Amino acid sequence: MATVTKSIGTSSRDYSTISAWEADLNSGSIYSNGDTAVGEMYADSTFTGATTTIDGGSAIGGSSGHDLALVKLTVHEDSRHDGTAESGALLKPTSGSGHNVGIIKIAVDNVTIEWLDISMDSLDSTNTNRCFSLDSGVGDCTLRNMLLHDKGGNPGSSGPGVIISSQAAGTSDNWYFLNNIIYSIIETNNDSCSAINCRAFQGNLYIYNNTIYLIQANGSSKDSVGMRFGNSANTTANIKNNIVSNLISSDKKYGYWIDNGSATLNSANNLSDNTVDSAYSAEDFGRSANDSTGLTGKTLAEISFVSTSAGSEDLHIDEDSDCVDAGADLGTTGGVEIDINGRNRDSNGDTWDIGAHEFVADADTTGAAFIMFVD
Amino acid sequence: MELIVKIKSDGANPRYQDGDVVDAMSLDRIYLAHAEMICHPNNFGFNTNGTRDLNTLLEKFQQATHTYKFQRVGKRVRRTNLITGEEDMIGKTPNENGETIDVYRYLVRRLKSPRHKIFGPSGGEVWYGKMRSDAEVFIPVAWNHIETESDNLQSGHNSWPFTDLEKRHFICINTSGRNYDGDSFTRVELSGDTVTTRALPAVEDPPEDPSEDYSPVILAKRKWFVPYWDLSTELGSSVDDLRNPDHMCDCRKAMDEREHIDVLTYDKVSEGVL
Repeated sequence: MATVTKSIGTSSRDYSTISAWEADLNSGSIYSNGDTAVGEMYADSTFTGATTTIDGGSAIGGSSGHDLALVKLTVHEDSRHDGTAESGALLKPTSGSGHNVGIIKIAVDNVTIEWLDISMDSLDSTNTNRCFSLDSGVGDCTLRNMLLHDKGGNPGSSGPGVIISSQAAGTSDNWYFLNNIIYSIIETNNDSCSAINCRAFQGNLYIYNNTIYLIQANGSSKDSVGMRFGNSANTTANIKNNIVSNLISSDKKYGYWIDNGSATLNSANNLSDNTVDSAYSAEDFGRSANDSTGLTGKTLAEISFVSTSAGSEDLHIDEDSDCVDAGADLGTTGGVEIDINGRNRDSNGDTWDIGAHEFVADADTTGAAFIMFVD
Repeated sequence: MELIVKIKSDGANPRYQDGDVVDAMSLDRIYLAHAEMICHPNNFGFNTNGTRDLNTLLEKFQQATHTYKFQRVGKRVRRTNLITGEEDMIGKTPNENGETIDVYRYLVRRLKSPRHKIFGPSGGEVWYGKMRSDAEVFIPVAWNHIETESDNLQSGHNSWPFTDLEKRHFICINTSGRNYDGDSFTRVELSGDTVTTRALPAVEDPPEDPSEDYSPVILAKRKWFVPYWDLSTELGSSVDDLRNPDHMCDCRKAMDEREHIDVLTYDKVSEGVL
């Protein structure tokens, strides 16, 4: 049971595309039963493939029962983003993935995807309307430390969404969505719009330390959704330390929405801004949860992102943010301790912030002494 | 168009089947990949300010491929939409769209990255944002800069950089379309949906009014396939060689020798395979 790492990129790597790496996951000459397959992306050039379905790694070499233990798609340390778009390995399809299909579709157990920067702003504005689709066959799954952003236009008969699933999966399955920054998902023609919608999932859901900004629906009775989950009484939804901000719609603005009143909700220290409907805030979750640790009604000035300028977004927080030191210590569950900059909150003994970024005074305010202000 | 083709089935549908098209590369996609490698920030140095110099190939490439130009003006930033020419100023005070920027904080973090793309003098830093999507427009402009500012020629960068491993484990081929003039024809590059669809899955028809979390059932991982076992002559390689994972096969040909797309690729639905 080995970890087999293969590089992905266009400059003399093992594979030149994500799809080619994925298509080789059943290769008996590379993998053995119980191996961990790691695809390590390099920012040689933009990854432009339209769609990748991850379902490989079972029956390796044609032998039934010979499966990978884990499929992990990551980015080499030298090619990781700095928390802003186009600063690391970028996946930006040059053509549509197919309506509702997903730029990346996960359809197998035990998958981790991390550190990607995915722009949904593809050439075909009509059908690349899903970033991640968790589909039939998905089991345990972790999506973390990613930038997921920039869907505009009119994506046809159902609106845009970033992490979307209609799968119930198993009651013992664990889904981790950790330390992601999701922003600028904008519908322009009569549809709703969601950042995270996995309401059918009936397992253990861990949505920790994500930052969500600017989710915009269009049309009457169309909604904007920060995160929606828990339509099964079996669901255990652990929702902590998230920011949901700047929801825009002419109808409902669901910040946090748990569908089933019997689902288990473990929430703490989430933030919703003053655009979110109060019944779906970080306190109430659509069912009067009365979570007194939730921060609600905050303004963007109180959240204090570094930049919300279109085209140059930087959703790190600064020292004036109400999110600083306002989070719950979540330990090391699923790797949640690693923030969007790669800082280990746990080993550094940080007092946790809300959102994907852990503000640290020295690291975030110094280091470029040659910058001068000239008025 | 270039294609990378699967060898061996991974199981029953919807897993990969023998001959499935794994990925398809248009010429624009190929040109973009090479242009980005040539204009990679690692190939360019820093000035004494720690920023990149203006008017370099790196800056011209960034300008050609992005939607917005940002230039710091004191504590504010001038944003120029490079497509429409519109300009506005952004600072710590929200504009009419509620947008703000703390330019100092923004630049401090960017400049820590060895791959940063911040140009110009202190106080007047320049950067670019949001990569454009109209490849057919910006790629010729970008390559014009590359050819002017370097020894690289676009004509020498028209093949996808398939790896040695890919050439052993998959089949790498290229193909063409045809423009007819009477009975004679010229071979032409393929683009648009012709390329895109080759690497898409076959999915069920969607309902008329899908739910917000609707996801179509995948019937087959790929809709299109290359029956390479019947195409030894066209591909110039034996089936045994194509299937041998220790044998490196690159079946790509010069444009005037390429097979027509209809000779190499087949739709599983039309062929009755699905």
